[in-house]
Amino acid sequence: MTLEAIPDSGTESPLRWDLGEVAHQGMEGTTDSSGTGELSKIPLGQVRGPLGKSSWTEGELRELVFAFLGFMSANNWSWLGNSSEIMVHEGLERLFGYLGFHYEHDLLERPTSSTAINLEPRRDIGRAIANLFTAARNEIFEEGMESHFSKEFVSLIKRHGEVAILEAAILITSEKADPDVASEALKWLGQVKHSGTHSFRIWLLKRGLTSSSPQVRDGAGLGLSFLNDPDAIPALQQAIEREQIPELRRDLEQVLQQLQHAP
Amino acid sequence: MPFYLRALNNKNRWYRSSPPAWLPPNEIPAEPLADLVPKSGPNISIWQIEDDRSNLKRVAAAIASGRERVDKFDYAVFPQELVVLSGLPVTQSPGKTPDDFANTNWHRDLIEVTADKLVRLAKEMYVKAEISRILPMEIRQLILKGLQARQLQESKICDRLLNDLQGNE
Repeated sequence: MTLEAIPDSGTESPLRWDLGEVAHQGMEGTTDSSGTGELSKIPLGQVRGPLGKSSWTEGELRELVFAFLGFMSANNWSWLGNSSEIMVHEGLERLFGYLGFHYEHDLLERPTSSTAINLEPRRDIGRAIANLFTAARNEIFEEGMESHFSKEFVSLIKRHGEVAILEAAILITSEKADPDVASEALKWLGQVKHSGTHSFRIWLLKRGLTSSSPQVRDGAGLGLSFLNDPDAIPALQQAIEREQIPELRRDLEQVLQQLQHAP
Repeated sequence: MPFYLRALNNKNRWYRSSPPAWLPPNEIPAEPLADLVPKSGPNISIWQIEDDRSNLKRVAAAIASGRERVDKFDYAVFPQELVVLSGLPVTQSPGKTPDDFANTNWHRDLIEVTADKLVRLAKEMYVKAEISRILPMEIRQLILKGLQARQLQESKICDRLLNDLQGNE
C-alpha cells in the first residue's frame, strides 16, 4: 500500500511513501521482504519538506525513526520493557498526524507516564553521543589507529545498540555533525561487531552516501566496505551514478566491486 | 626512474578534480599538507617503489601492519623527480615496520625539511602524484599473506591488530 500525503496549498509535489507496506509487515511481526529488516524504503531525507511544516524538530525526527525501528525490532528493546510497542504506536500516531491522517491502534493500554519514564535513558544517551561528537571535532583521526572517539563510540553502541546509533543518525543525517567526525563514525559503524544493530547500521551507512559532504560519503563507502554486505549494492550503484567527484566515484566503485564478490 | 610512495592519512584531502571555488590559480588547498608534515622527528618517511611497482603491495602491507587496526590504505605514488624539484634531500634509513626486508631496502627519509620545500613538494604532488586506495579487506589479506610468507614478523605486530586479523574485537 502506498500512502500519499497531499501537501498544503502553496507547497509542491505530493509525497509518496511506502509506509503502509512497512507498517503492515511490522504489525504482522515480520521484517521486510529482503529479510534484512532494513529501512531503506523509508525516505527520511524527505521528512523535511512539503508536509505543511518547514522542518521537523530533532525530537520529532527521533520519534519518527524510533517508531519504525520499533516495528523492525521491538523485541530487542528489553530496556524499554512493555512500553516499546506503545511508543511505536505513539510515534506512528504523531507521524500520521503530521501527514494529515488518523492512526488508530488498540493493542495495548498506555500505562500512566510510561513515556516520560522511558525517555530519560534516551536523553542521557543522546547527550553522551552529542558530547562525544562535539569533543571529537578537536581530535585528529589517524588511519588504522583507535581514537578516544572511536573507543567511546563503539562502547556506546555495544552498550545501548540501536538507541546509540539513532542518536548518531540524528546528528549525521541532519548534517549537524562535523563532516570529519561523521565520516569517522560511519567508518566505525561498519567495523563494529554487533549483529543486533546490523540492519540499522547498514541503513545509516546507505543514508550517509547521500550526504552533501564528500568526506561523509567517503566514510559511508568505507563503512560499507568494512560491513561487506551485498545488500548495499543498489545504494552504492545509485551513489556512483550521482557522484560528481571522479576520485570519490572511483573509491565507491572499488567498494562496489568488493561487495559484488562478497560471499 | 622508480617512484616514491607516501602513505596518506586520508586521500579525500587530495581531490583535485573539484578544487574549491575560492582557490586562486596555481595554488593548492592547505589540507594536503597535513599528510606531509613530519609527525615524529624532523623527517618525512617515504618508500621507494620499483618501476614495475612489484613491491607496492608489500610496502603497503608493511606500513599497514604497523598499525592498531585493519584499515584502508591511502597513498600517493609519484616520480622521484618531484622530490628533486622540491629541493628536499633523500637519505636511506631503516623503516620501523614489521617487515625487515622492506625497512632495509625500500625505506627513505626526506631530510632538512623546511616549510617552503614542503609546500613545493605538496604542490608538485597535488598536480602529478597518483593518489590511490587499497580497501581494508585487501589490506587484511595482504597482511595475512605477509605473515604466512614470514615477510612480516608477528612479534612486531601489536596484539590489537592480531586480534582484528583473527576477526576478534
